[in-house]
Amino acid sequence: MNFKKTVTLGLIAAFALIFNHQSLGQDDWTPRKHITGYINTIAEYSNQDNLNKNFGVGLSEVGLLVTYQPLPELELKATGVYSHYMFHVSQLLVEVYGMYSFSDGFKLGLGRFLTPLSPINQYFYAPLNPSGVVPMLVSHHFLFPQSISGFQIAGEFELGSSSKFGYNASIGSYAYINHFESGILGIQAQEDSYPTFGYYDTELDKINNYLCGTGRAYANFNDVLTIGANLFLADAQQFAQDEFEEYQYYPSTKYTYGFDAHLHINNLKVNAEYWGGQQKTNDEIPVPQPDGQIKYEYIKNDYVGYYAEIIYDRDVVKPFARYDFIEDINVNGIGLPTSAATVGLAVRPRFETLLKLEYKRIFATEITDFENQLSQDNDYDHIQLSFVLSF
Amino acid sequence: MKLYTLLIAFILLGFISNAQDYKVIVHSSSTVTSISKSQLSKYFLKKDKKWDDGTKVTVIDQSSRSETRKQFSNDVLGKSVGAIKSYWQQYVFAGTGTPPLEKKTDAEVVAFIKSHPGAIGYVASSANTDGTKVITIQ
Repeated sequence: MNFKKTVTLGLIAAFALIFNHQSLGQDDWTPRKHITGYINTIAEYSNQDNLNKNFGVGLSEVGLLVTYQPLPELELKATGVYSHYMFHVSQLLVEVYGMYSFSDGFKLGLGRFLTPLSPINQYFYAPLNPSGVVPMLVSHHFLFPQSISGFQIAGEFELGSSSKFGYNASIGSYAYINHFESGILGIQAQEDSYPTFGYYDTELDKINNYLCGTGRAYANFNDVLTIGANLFLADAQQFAQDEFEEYQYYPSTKYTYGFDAHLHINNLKVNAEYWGGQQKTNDEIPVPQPDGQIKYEYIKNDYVGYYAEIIYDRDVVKPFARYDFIEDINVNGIGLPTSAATVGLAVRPRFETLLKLEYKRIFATEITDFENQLSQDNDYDHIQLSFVLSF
Repeated sequence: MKLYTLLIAFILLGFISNAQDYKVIVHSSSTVTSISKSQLSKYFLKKDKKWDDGTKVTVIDQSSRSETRKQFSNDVLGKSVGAIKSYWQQYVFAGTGTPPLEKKTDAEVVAFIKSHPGAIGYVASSANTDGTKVITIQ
């Protein structure tokens, strides 16, 4: 009874606070809405041996964003992105949330968010990325998912006259999807697995939603340097063979952490991030041994991913170079470290039209003998032309 | 001689075309009389959201097709209107900001600023700004 009373009084107080803010804020407020979006069509070529076809052209993504601000303190946002490999209508809703700002230092949001960790996650939206391809540590989703749904708090504080400190934290759930292909050929987000396994078909019926939490803190100095630290904690599922050599998904726990730095001096931008982490089964699971015996043990995967990029931003023309590295697949003790070097050019003569051309060399590993744990290099190339129309 | 005349005419034409074709206006109650280009830029890019006295700044922009906006954007923000739209597109997708409210005509900008203390905008030099205060750009 006391608990009910407390909750009721709490809700009344919260509503009173919110509606009081509304009545104060509406005096001279004009509700605002903003609509923007893009259509991204690409042509890509890769000489990877396991591809069914080496050249593809098609609509890669369509994004539509609507924001509505009925009050100065309240923002509603919905972002839908259709992609060539979309498998379920729920994937369309990348973001749908409401964010109430109690002050600059404290905002409360609820709904579905683009995971508020690495700023590079925003490269998912084609007009924000100088490259047509997302860094592997983001596209592979082994470190954090693309979106989460639940609650988020965020805020920003001024540090002196020219610096800022910001934070956000969220709790909610996410869909456990790794290596879900993108682009047209389907090799993007599967760069590391293709040389050994070829096309990896995500088992849609095995995708589950899990509880997760995120935290990020960052500091910005004079709009020149931003540094951030990120943490992702979650329940997860581990894919492994059982005693009958059937693949099973086992309940697991995952933690990942990352550090990011962004330098912006005049027209020069440098972005870099380092992420690491681990996923481990919650219980000991049956693991077939080479001698035919079954041994019960914990299965764990260590993750590493990093990238660095340099962009010369002249508004209309943006040449860039990027290096990225990931290691997220471990098969019977054999890792598949994969790195890539990219050079490219983005040209945006007007807001509506953006053209990107890039060449990428992927330095991949191929497992040649599972029993004896043998592997070899299997490098390949990728060229992509992207044409993005914004509105 | 004709060549010199042409040259002088050309230079004068250049000065005329580079002349400031806009004026910056604020609410009539504002104590502000002048503003630097860099501060104006900070307000219009929402990098600074408060006046010196701590009150909130409300920025009013013009339509992206407006000739006045083109000149203001190049002159004050140092970028084309397209580049500024790209800038705001990044903030909107990132969820970290929204562009200023846009008004289609000078009259709409003036009407808004008249009724909103803390507002700042710009209109064509020839616009009627009665009821607002014109401030100089340093």
